[in-house]
Amino acid sequence: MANSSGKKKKGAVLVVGAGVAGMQASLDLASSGYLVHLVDKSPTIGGIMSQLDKTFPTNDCAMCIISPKLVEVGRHLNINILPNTEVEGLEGEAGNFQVALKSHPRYIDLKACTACGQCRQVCPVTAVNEFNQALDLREATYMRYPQAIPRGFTIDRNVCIGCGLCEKVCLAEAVHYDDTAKEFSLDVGAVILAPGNEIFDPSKFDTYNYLNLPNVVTSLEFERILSASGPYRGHLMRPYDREEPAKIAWLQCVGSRNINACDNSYCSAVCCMYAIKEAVIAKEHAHGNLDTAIFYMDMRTYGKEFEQYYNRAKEHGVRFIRSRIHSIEPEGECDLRLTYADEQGQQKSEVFDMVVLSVGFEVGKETVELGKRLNIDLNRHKFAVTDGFKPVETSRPGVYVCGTLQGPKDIPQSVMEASGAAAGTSALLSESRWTETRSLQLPPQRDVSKEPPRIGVFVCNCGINIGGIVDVPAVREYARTLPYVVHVEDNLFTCSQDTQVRMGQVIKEKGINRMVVAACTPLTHEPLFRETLLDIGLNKYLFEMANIRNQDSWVHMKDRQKATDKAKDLVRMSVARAALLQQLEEQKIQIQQSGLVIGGGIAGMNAALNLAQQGFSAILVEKGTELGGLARCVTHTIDGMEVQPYVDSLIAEVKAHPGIKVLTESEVTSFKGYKGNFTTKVRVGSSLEEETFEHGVVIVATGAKEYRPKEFLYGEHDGVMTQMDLDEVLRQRGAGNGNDPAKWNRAIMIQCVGSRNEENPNCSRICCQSAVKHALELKKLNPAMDIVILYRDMRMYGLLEDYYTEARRQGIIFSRFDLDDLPKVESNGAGLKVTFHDHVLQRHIQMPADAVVLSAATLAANTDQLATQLKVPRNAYGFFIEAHAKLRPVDFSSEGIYLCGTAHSPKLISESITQSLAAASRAGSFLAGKTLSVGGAVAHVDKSHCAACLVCVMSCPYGVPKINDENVSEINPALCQGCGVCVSECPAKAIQLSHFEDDQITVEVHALLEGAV
Amino acid sequence: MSVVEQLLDYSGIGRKRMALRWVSAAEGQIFADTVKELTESTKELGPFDAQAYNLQLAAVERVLQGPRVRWMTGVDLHVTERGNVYGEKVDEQAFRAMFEQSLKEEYEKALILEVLGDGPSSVREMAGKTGLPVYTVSLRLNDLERRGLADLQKFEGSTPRFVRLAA
Amino acid sequence: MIIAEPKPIDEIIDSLKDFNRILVAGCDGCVTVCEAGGMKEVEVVASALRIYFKQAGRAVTVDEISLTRQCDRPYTAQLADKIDQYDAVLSLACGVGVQFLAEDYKNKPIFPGVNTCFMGGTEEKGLWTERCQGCGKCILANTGGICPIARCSKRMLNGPCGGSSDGRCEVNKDIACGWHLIYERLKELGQLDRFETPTDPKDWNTSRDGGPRKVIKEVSRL
Repeated sequence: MANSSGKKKKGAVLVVGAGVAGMQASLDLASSGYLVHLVDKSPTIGGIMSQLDKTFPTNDCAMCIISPKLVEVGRHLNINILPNTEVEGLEGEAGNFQVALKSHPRYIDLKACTACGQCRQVCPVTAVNEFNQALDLREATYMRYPQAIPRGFTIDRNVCIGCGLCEKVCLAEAVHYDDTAKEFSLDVGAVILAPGNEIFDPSKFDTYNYLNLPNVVTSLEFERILSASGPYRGHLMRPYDREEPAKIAWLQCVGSRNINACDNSYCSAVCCMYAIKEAVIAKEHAHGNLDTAIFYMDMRTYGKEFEQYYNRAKEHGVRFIRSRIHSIEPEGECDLRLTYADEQGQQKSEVFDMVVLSVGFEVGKETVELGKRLNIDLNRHKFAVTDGFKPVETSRPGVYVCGTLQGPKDIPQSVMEASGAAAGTSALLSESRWTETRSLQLPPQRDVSKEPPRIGVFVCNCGINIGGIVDVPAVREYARTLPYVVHVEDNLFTCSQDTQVRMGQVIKEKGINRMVVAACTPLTHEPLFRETLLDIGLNKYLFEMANIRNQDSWVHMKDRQKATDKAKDLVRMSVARAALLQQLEEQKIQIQQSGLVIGGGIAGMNAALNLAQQGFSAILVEKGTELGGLARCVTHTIDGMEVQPYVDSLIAEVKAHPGIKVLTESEVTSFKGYKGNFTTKVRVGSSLEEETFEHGVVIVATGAKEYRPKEFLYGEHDGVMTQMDLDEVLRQRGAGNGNDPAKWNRAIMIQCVGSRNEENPNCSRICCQSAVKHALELKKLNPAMDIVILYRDMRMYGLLEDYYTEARRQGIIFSRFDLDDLPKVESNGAGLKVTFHDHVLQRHIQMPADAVVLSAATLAANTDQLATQLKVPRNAYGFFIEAHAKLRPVDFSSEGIYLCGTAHSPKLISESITQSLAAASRAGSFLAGKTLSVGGAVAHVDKSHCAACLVCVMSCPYGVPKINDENVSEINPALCQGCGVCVSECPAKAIQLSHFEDDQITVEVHALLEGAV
Repeated sequence: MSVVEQLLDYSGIGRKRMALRWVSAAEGQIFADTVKELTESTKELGPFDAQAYNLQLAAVERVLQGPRVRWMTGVDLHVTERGNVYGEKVDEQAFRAMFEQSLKEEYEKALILEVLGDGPSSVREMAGKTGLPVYTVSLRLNDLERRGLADLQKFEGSTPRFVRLAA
Repeated sequence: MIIAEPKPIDEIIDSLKDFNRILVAGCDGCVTVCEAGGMKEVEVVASALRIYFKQAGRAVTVDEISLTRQCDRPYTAQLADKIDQYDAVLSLACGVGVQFLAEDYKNKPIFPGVNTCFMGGTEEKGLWTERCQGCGKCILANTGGICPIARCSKRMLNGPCGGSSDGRCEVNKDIACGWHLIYERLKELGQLDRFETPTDPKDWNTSRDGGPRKVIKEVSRL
């Protein structure tokens, strides 16, 4: 429907901020049929993530995983990148906004600039390099980082003296000193804010001596030190004398959880994990044995599989010392002394070579100004105000928010929120899909089938990931000697935008018709290089990749000679195969415009509703009798929002929407097909009738359940209950049955029951806030009540920290216990007594209590049958496994299937809603394409050899081969998924898999064993 | 000239060891006075041991031959008096301050490059030979690496040794 | 179809170890369907032979081929132009194929690469079970389509021996009692009255006991 003004909504979106969140939102929307204007005040996109070395919990290189997104954004037809631009004002309403923008002059014409770097070579002026966090300098004419998109230089007028030298040397005539600021306006339907945060400036804390002591660095500086593209080229060195440190300390919570020296009382949510990561990676970089110590208050490793990351770090020898260090004293010429009191009250002192301050997030002044100009509400910490049930909507309708402006969070959460914001936008603007977008004009494909192979080999250094171990120039020269090779080169990053352009030119110039890239993994980078081929008019199947990183440099770090020899072997194999690669054709089939959502809790309902609002239809399957899921057991959120009315209204909305079909008491009985064309049978209701649905996508939202404890007298004594039981008890208070919490003198809560132990090493994330929430409620009910919370780490991450502070302010006692000294709960008549070791008094305390509340773990629901039907993986604890922890947190590896809610891992209601919107956004982006390209690398049968033995029919997991009228097996190329099972099973060797034919594989084996056998 | 004077000061040689005066053939008195004055001041300074200042002199020469200082000297008047490419006049004080800072940095970098000519050195070794503070060497060396003039050769234990790339 | 099973590789190597030019010949017929002697198995056996000879330090040629069938002369004749290149042939066809090749190429040693087992069908992928023993006088009409010769361990003709337990044969618990199956089947068909008429003693002449057999269809002969 159109706006209140009757105007049709504009199918374009403004995304403010081009960090990882801004890019994700842009990609989702651009692929869904909207034109995206991606604005950033910096000359390039990439944000803070481009400055990181590695990312937790996978320890993937940040640039490696963001690079494909940078290139995708750079080359996406429907994304219009506007660097050096800021938003000045926003008029209008949701669906029809007019944005006033101002772009600052760059003085260099991006269309002409080839990024050759001549200008920067001659520039006489230097300035502090923000990208490397002031560890080194840059010129006035600069490019933020080597893989920058858009690719080109900028002149920083703040330091430029206007000498005119750069223009003199620029052969591309790209320098224009007469460039001016431009003001212009854009019409969009919605705005997504993803401007990110600044990091806290520790120079405010004079006791840390950050400005005086060069060996005290912030965590972001340390990332730059570790990074291959940083000032020390990835060598672990300290700034003062460039020596490799032998002892490094991390101080947590610098600029966070602090109400005395600065005003950031919140927790920055990421620093515990990044400190562990930096310690582990630093150990990898060090030549000798590096001693790493992390000084902390609570170790907040609350995310999916983060606790295991923490445990592994301990095994690697990272020391964890619970103490908040107040000062850093200089020791000797340049070392640092840290003094602290340990738990036993003993004063300890240690000297370190380097100290890293784990600085937190802070909303920058400029962002606050931006918020004012856009007329959105910011909370007292200056983060955007959002509703717990609408976590990506700002106070202004049509303006969405994602990433760290919404609150401190890590990359997976930011990426999810970005997709969530895209979902909200897509639902708002769905009527105007595809109205502003541009269409792809690919050059006609050149037919190379009659040409002999002419192979181009591109060897990647991948920063130092490959080049630091493998002798890349030697591999390059070796490649030159191989048959059919007509061109070789090596690149710093073969995946960067500039290299794509270069490769295109080289391929055209030398008539190359097969491309071999020796670099990282095809899993992340094959699509990128295939697109490069398409862009220059070659069939995308003429591409082959040798993995000399994951399969070589990363696993043979200690033996450079052997690693180089292996790289040569791998390249020789790939070149041999490339010579035999053939052009393959694909065809388009229709995508069913509907989604099956499995699970009718908050996540499932929000996903179904958003899909329907986006204009698709949804089938919501719930195995219980009612919709609502786990949320039915929660009365309030910690922010005080009422959950049941929300759930009721959500159910009503879902049931009323004509695009959603709700099936309760129903379960999936069979599932087959592939992305875009799934066929699912559902047993509907108690009638046991089966209905068949054809749909394009699946969203799994099967939820989780609370652990029923076996310990602490649960089930044996009425006074022992879980947090969910307590919720029920509080709810039933009015009904006047038995246990009235208002009459309790003392309640003791025990954290981590069923979590963070040998049986279940995971942290259940929500139990700390659940305990504090209930403790505050109990205090409100009876201010005289004594409440003690026994914990191991208080994981009140992000903005939850304020509730922890409030709880302490209200006199709730927090006492810490260790895994090897658990509290004991004993019966004491109608009451209980609890014995625990207090960490401050350093002795055991016994207290009587009227109630013991156990913060029980959140465990995965039983999805054995469903997981087998859908053929999707789960980890050892029953939670589903996403395609990539950081960059694809709601996708499964199997295409067309998405995941959200607690089925992924335990999370808050607001986080479940965000993730469900993200899943709907990803699903919607896929469905919006309407057609799918199939074929290409699929199996084909040689009829003359087919014995019609039915082995392929029996083996195919997708049920594709059929015996046709000619009595031979026939494989429909549109349905074949290219798994190759039939090829290996066929007893007559009558089936071949295109792109993986027998000769293409055996030639690789022969190339590998050349001379050896 | 002031550039050379400043460099001589940085190097510890002192600007008084050098003078440039314009005296024409018709100005005999000025010639005589100048010679007297310079002879007196030089006698006060005492003998100059050029050998002891080999390193510093080489560094001064390197700076004067380098493009950056030459260019900045050349554009001085352009940007401060005539107006730069943006049509603005850069404040003279600000320019001077920036120029002096750059000059000092260039001199320090030149010292380091000269020292590296003897062979691979660690930061502390360079500090010892040049007389510069350790952290200053660290910063200047990093700038040299960034400009492609120096590089890490290898680690000896925990100490990295650096080399000069090209003379 | 005829169900066969690959011979252990050691046995095959033992037959071929003294030869220098070997042809491995598969069959696209029954042995392909029961995954014992089709082109895939040919390639596997040939690879194993090459590895063996390489390790033994001998330069031996091992070639691969698969014929449409080895039980029809026009197909076996396809080897005629190349058989002289070899000094031994390993046939992965059933016993019929091995013998036809031996008859066609009298002076060439032909070795079997599979053990031919029985006539049966594909129960499930990878599982083939016996159904027929070729007795030559089919009585399936009387036994509800279940053969007591093939499926009863004792080849009883008039009902179970009484030794079965829970429907399983006393000879081997993994085998269903054939007569139990026949009983249940006849019950479903409503033909239990067949049990009231005993079967005549079987004329085993038509089976293997009468010596090697032949079938002639006069009208088809040229």
